Amino acid sequence: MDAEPAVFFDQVSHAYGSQQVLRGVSLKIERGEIVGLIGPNGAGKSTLLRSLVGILRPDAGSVRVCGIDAVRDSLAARQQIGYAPSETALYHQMTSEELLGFAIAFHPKASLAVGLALLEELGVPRDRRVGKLSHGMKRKIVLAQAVASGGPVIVLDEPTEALDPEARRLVESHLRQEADGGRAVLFSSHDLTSVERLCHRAAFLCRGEIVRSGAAAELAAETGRLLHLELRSPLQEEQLPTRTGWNWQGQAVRWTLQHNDAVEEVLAVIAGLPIAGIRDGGGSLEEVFDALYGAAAE
Amino acid sequence: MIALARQYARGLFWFVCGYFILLEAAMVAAIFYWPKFRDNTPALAKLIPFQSLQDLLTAVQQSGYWPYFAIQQWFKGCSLFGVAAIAFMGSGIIAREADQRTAEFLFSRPVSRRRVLRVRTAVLALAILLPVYLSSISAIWISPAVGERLPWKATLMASSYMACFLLMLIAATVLLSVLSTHQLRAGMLVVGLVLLSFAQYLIQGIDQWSLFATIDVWTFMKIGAGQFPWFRAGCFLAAAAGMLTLAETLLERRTW
Repeated sequence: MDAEPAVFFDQVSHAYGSQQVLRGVSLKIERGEIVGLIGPNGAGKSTLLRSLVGILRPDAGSVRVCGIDAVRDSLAARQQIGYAPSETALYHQMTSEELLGFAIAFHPKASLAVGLALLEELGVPRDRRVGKLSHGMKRKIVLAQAVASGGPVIVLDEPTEALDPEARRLVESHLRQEADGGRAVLFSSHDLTSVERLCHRAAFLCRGEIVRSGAAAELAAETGRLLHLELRSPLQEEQLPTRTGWNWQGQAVRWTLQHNDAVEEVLAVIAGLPIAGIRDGGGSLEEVFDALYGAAAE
Repeated sequence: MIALARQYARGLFWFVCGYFILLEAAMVAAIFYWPKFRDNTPALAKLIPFQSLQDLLTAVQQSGYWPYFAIQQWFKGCSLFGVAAIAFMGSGIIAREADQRTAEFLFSRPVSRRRVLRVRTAVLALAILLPVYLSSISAIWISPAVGERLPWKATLMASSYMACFLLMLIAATVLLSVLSTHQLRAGMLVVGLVLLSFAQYLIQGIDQWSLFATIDVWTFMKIGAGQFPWFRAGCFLAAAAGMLTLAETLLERRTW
């Protein structure tokens, strides 16, 4: 069973009524790998993660966790997963420690000691009622129980949302350690710098489809580089210079050029434009995001 | 399983205490009111407008303490407070998870939805039914204070019959809770349906189709005489089992 990928989505589709949310999504995550799922709101990230933990059944395709069919044998699949939902509404009458104990009580390999140590490290008071904790503190409990579950797969929906920078770094460091120990980590996020720092791979979801997937540097190279221009006077797209592989996005005085050429070459070509300001995209995931979803929005 | 039961029970604890105290207080008050009631029964029977309620008083006039106690404890006390407790506590058994947005957290744990529902229903049933038995048993001890005696066997059999009736209402509430996304809506529906059924009980001609016709004084008179309505109790349990099975099936299919 160890030869099986930790998580394998195969042609997964799902619709909420008439709204198609996932369209034949395929994605494989190996043990020891950290994969970030990126996409705008409504892209289908949470729906995909929920199909792993039995919250919803996909209409088509299969979801496997360590070789176990997550639809047919959802219970066994869930035993492999430490899951942190994006929702931090919890049982407010319980203390942090009680909630942690309850959350991991059903996992065969869970460790309360690991969870409590993580809570302490993150500064969550263990004897305070959950209802009296801040949103960020609740988020930390949700993350701690996912890590403490002990299963080979950790699935996190928006894990760094509402966390302060220090807690974010701590969580990232823990997730790296878990991956080094052979656990697979799959998470969705809008925090692209966090994904860039943490992930071995990123997968971009757009309108229910994975439109790009790979290491951050590879994705940036594939997508091309971006130059953001601010002009002194408005121009139409027809007035802008073009070359093979160039793609202009924007309007009036703000334009973004997607290209694959050396920056010096590009500057020589656009030198005639009334440029007020210019900024190099630098090949980050944010640039990839802009390129992908800017194009999708059009 | 213990973690599930404990988590659900701790949310019910104070409500169960309140429900038991109310049930006990109503029962004690009813017992100590009995001597005054006994002396004024003929006058009261003339004042009551509904035929079905007049019939209850006639039964009290003819047979004394047992029908009086049956009306006070089971027909009125257990059904009134029992239904309120079921609506209040039971309506949230699943709907509260949707209401408070904790459903995703709970149902992503590696525990089957069927088990969650069964454990919670068992805890709820215990929370509702145990006070019924306890208050009935304490009535056996208190009744001699007003010069009356409640037979152990008949009292326990009557409590068991009431328990079967309440189990059916619990199952109906659980089913509504599984179907609902709002606890309040499920609770109001239960209370509304029970009130409707009680109103039906007060209307001559259609009263025999009311749920309350199955727990009226005549039924408890039979139990007091040693004739337990096995068939009707079986129907309550069968209906409860059917509704719980349906609730389990629907919960398995539900998405959040």
